[in-house]
Amino acid sequence: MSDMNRREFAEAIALASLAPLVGHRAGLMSFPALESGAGVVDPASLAKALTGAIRAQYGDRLLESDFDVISHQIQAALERAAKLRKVPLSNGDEPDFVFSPVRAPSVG
Amino acid sequence: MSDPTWLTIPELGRLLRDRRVSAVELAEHCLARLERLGPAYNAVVTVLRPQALAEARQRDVELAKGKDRGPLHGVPYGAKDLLAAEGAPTSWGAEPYRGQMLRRDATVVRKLREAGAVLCAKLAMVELAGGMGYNQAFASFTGPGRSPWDRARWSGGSSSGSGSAVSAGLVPFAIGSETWGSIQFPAAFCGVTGLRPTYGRVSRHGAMALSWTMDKLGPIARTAEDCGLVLAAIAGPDPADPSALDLPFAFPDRSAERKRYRLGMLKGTLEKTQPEVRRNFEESLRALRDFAEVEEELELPGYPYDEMASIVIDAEAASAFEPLIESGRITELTAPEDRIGGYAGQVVLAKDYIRALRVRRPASAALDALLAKVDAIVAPTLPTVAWPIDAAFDKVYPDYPGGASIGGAANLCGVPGLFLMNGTGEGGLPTSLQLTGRALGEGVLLAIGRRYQQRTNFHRLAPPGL
Repeated sequence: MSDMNRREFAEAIALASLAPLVGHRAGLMSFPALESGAGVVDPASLAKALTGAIRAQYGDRLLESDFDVISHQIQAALERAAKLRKVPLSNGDEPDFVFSPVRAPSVG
Repeated sequence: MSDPTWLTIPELGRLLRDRRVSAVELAEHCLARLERLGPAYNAVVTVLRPQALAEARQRDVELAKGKDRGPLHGVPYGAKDLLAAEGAPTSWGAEPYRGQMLRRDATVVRKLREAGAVLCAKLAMVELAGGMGYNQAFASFTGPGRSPWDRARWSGGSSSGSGSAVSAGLVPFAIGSETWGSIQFPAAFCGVTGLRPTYGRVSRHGAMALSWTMDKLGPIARTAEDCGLVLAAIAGPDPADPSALDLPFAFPDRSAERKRYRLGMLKGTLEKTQPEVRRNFEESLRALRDFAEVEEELELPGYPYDEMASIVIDAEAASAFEPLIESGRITELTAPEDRIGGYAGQVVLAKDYIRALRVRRPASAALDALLAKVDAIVAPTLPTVAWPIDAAFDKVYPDYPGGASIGGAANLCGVPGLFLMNGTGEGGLPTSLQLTGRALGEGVLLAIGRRYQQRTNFHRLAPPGL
């Protein structure tokens, strides 16, 4: 079975040459970020460990060849995440979602 | 009744209001085509004959009494089978959900009913909107979506039936969804017009969730004008969907009308595209230059947009489909790769998902700054014509992977896109042109699309033999 799906194909055709990564923090209070990069785990070994987590949960229903594919997919995802770490962020850079507290209308 | 098969929404509206055709006759016409031709393209899951005829009769009664609900009054349509419609099964294209009955209408279905449109069919789709990582056209219990231009070619996905049903003249318009490419591909491969609205323009309530922060619902139709009329009916706030923006959309959007527009092209956008795709795109540029300046050297900001989009979809889909994976019924999916495609997402690290959401904000601001320089970025919708139905996606057209693309960035950041047929290429198959604009800039894209289609005739071409 192939290990490239349509999304990966879309990525492949979307390969824009990545210019130097530049953070954008207009209008936000900025806190200094620590240098990162030290102690980054090799994606292959982390993928192997995470595949173990899949094996622990679902091992009874998957074949060994399935685990090879899954491990490859996990490693690809970790490599994508590694690219995100090259974008500088500081403590005040919030996720792009907003939590809204709920207060239901009073009854009676 | 003259043949209404290839008419646009305004043309159908004139026939209805002039009493030259009734809503029942239109519905009958579409139902017959859906039943007779739908199977040839694996386009249909459920034909809603009794419901459609009952609705159409009601629309005729209303028109006779002088009640006109607007441009969609009495116009038939189809909905991708990830939209709930009361009284009809909603399968999500996936065997484990075949026969699933959801008790309420999706907001889009409700709004279209209120606008007078007549739901005639639930349309086929790639299982779970492609969320399990399919790599082939055979990824739905309805079979591979086939393009009306050549049944040996894929219709595109995941809104397969929405694209092929409009292309084959089974319905004048359809609703599809896009998380990453699912309106774009069928619009291109089926030679029709597709609109991916801004994230939040259209309520997602009642639609299957693949990615709560990236799913968008939008129309596939004959023309940009048709897409605008449908968007006007389905856009707007919805208490059931907190992401739905309180910004109704009017069409035509007069504020979007300009004498001349500014268009941009990404540097390298034409690299590694099929020669016919390049030729047709350059021909399109000549038509566009009648009313637009084209700046050719834009560059996408240097953020890992595609990687972020993948992480967001993987993490959100892992949660959305956790019950399916836990149940073990994921093994019932059609494509073998889909049966194991959901496991890797189960171990996406929380910190990686959160980081993607954190980087998305500055990355969106940078993309908006680029898009603000022009009215739209123009590009070939895809680098090739429709793919052979039996080819693995990673093996097809290896020489033409395409050049710089805005697709991942646009979907991650939730900005709108319009896809229009712009000619034929290899094997007489459609090629397509895409316009990408700023968030909430659908009006501008549709205005440009209308001007382009006033100068060209590709949207009037029917697939051979139909």
